[in-house]
Amino acid sequence: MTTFKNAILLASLLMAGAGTAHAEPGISEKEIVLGNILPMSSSAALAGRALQIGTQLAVTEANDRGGVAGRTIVLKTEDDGYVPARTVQGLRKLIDEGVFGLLSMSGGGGSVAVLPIVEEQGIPAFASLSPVNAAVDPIKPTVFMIGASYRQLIFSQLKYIHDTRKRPDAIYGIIRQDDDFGDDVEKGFQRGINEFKIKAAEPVRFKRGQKDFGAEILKLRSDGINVLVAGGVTVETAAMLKEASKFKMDLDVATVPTMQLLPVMKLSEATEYSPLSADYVSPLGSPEAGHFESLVRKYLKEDEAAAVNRYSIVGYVAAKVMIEALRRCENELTRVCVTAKLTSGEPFDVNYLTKPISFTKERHTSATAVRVLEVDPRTKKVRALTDFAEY
Amino acid sequence: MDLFLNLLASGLISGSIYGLIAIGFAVIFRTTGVLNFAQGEVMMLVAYVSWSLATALSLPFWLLLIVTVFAATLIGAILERLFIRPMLGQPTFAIIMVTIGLAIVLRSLTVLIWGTDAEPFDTIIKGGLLTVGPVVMYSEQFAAIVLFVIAIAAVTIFYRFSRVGVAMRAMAEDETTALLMGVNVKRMSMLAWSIAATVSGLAGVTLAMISSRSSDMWVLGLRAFPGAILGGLDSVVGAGFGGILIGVIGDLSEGYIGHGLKEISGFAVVILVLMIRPYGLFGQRELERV
Amino acid sequence: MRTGHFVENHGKQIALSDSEVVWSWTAVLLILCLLLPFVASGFVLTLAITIGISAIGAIGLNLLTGVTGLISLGQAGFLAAGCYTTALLITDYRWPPELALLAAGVVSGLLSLIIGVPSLRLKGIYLAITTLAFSFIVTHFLLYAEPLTHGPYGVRIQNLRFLGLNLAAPPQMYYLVLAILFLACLAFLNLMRSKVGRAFFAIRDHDIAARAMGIDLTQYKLSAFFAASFLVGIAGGLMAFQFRFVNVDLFNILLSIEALAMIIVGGLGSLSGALLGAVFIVLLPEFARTVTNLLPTHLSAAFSTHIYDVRGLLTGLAIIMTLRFEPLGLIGVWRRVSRYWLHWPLST
Repeated sequence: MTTFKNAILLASLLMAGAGTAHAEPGISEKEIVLGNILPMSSSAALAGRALQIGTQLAVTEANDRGGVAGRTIVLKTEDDGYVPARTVQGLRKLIDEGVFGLLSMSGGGGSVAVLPIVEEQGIPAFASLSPVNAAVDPIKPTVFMIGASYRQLIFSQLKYIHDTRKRPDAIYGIIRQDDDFGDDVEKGFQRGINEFKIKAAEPVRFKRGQKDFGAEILKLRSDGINVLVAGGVTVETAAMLKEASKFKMDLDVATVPTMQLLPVMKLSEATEYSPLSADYVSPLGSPEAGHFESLVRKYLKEDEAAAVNRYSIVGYVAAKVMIEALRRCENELTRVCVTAKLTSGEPFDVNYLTKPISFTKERHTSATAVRVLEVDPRTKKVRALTDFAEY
Repeated sequence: MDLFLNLLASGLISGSIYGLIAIGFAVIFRTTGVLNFAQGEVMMLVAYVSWSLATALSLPFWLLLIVTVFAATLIGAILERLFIRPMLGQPTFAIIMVTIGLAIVLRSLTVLIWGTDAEPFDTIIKGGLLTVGPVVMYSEQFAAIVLFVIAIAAVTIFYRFSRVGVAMRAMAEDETTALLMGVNVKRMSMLAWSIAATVSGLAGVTLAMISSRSSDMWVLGLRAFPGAILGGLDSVVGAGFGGILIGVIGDLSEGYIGHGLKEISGFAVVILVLMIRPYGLFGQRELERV
Repeated sequence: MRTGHFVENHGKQIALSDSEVVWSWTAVLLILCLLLPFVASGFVLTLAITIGISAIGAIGLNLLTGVTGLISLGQAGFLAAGCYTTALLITDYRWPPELALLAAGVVSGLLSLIIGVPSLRLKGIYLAITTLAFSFIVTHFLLYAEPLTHGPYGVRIQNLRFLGLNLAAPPQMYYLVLAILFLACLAFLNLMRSKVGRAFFAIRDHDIAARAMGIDLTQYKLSAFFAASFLVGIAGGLMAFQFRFVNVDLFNILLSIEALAMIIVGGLGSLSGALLGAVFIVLLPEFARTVTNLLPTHLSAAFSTHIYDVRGLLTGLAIIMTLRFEPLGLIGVWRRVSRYWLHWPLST
């Protein structure tokens, strides 16, 4: 009788143990589910789709090597069309379907709106699409940001211009969007003019979705600027350059990373400017991006490969870090372990695509080192001018 | 002075685009009493089709214009026949809702067929610089203004002197009487849509040349809306000038004051004008009988 | 089978319904709504909350446009005003959420009086454009008045204790929304059965004639604006609770157009129309998603990068089809079907 009772007890204990072993959301015996919430429609799709392709590349590469802890990694992507209400809905759907971690949290208002839910559920998440200060200020235990903020990106270029151009009577000007992204860009601008003690024209703001910048450029032209921070999101920068080119303004131009995107370059090719840009990932075409490009050629169909841009590299990097953290937690696939491994301070190597990535409990941002780039819209080539440096 | 003239020119350029779309709004409203919420999207569709034709066939510019006009007329007629004709006789708000649905459909359709990327629209007239005193313009920007003037002239002549134009005016006044007088109401409705599609489609092509062929061109439809109302929706010429006014006021206020006033100034002006003239600057007061 | 509908006293006229069948089915619906959180997943509950909030806003807009005939394209502005009022009062001024929600309605209502005054002279589309302009000005102000509204950074709400409920938990938020929706419905029905409601209908049908009959247009038009915006403001405040992060991004013209779509597709002027419209418009993308998922895999793979635009296409087509076959909206469909069954087997 006692042995029978003991047997039942043991059996139920084992079953209970087996139950909790699979209680981690997104982890099953065969699969690990990772999620993306990205704008796959709307004008931000240029970035969203590219990032998704990048994450998928890393996942395919990992699965080809046998997966992690004997399981295949599955990627689920929710489209939010860059609408904050839908970002929240997308997250809820992923949670319902069972997701272990997030490789992206869209951008703008949506990424901030999902933070409370991510925090509540303790989901390891990367803010990878665009720098979101609210994600790491104040620090949330499971949320990490990859990439430098726009103020660092802009300041790095202003420093380069100041150090190499040495214009005797420089006047700096900026056109920026009237939201938090534009605010961040302007902060980089302000830092530049304060540190280098440069004269500056009054910042000009434009409304999101604006297509013509005649009035804005005219205003700055009447202020006599010769260095311009063109803070357009994507194609706005091209429009600004075209207007400036009309008046044959002699300008050094600093831009945000989207200047490297093919559509933006195409629209700028009629101007004579070779704008500077900056990025926290090495540009496509540089030797450091060689391995990544070989993966693109190996795994992607033609139309997918055409959609690859610097956002794909960011997605690839984020996915690699998450997968590596999972690998380091091979014996204990839980969110707690993965978060611990991420905040341990140990570096994650991503083959020089960025400087090695590491986080600690107090610092949830990484890959903040920036390279200054030169974009030539006529040859569609991007050249790195400096190596990674912190700004 | 240099700044003022250039700001004025810049305002005229964007105002011309708004004005052309506003003319589209007004033509359809005047003929059928329907406010076409999909006007911006129709403009976008015509611009995209034109771009595809230009890229695939590498036509000389004058031929491209003719083909665009033809394509726009066809698109306008097809849209009217498929979506609006079945709603003939239904309450106005139902038809307006159909145009809202149509706008959603056209937006998605455009991305489905052509993708989300923005592409430049390169034609022979692009890239040249026109200098008139201190004012500098790209040739395609000047083309927008020229197109606007031609459209206003053409529309005025059409409505005043041609039989079809007079018939459309009759239809706008009283549909039943016009029907009794032998006006083919259905055909007039289709014609109105074709004209609107052509006018705003050409505006779209010009816009694509100035900035790019992109999937958010439809937003200009919403921006042109206040322009149409400002001028008075039942005056086609008035609507056109309303668009110009919106563009000029926007650029002047942005250039001299800033603070993102470009968009808001137009709306503020609309409210002010409507307070003084409730039917728009050139609109006619509706006489209501009890 | 009823042969007629006879009203014999005032009580019967203003009664919500004289049919036991209607009462019992309404009770069933209410019970189902109350039981939803026990069976639904997180995602479905989020949808339900969105439907509830949209319905409250739709009832408000219906009051203005469907009942009184004052076309408004400025709902986004009033929603924004209500949302920001709640968020700022809770976060910056430490008001309790209950009062903040009420304040949202009041502020929105007062704001609408500002737009109501020009409305007295304007008709139809000209009124619509004025409300649209107004909504743009409101959102512009919210973006630029940084010291007051936090500008582009938005407002985060931490305190979510509402009458003992913790609104961060979806089921509790759902019950709050349900309760407020219920109250809004009752308020609407009550209004429609009163002198004020009848005046609104008269204004819609022909305002000059109404004036000739002694209805003070100024008073009633402004009341319509206030009442409608009060409801929309409350909906905005609830949105603040739902998202916990308020930003001008949430409010754009597409939201106003969506609100208009809800009441037109649902059926102008009736309460059930507003409710049906809200359900329809919110669920349409989900329905489109199910349809695209049902496609055979090779087709959906072909669409895979564009699946999201296919959904948009289906949404637009669904709206067009609904109005094509029933210009009076979903409520028209409902009435046709119920009339058919009422008179069966003698129905035409």
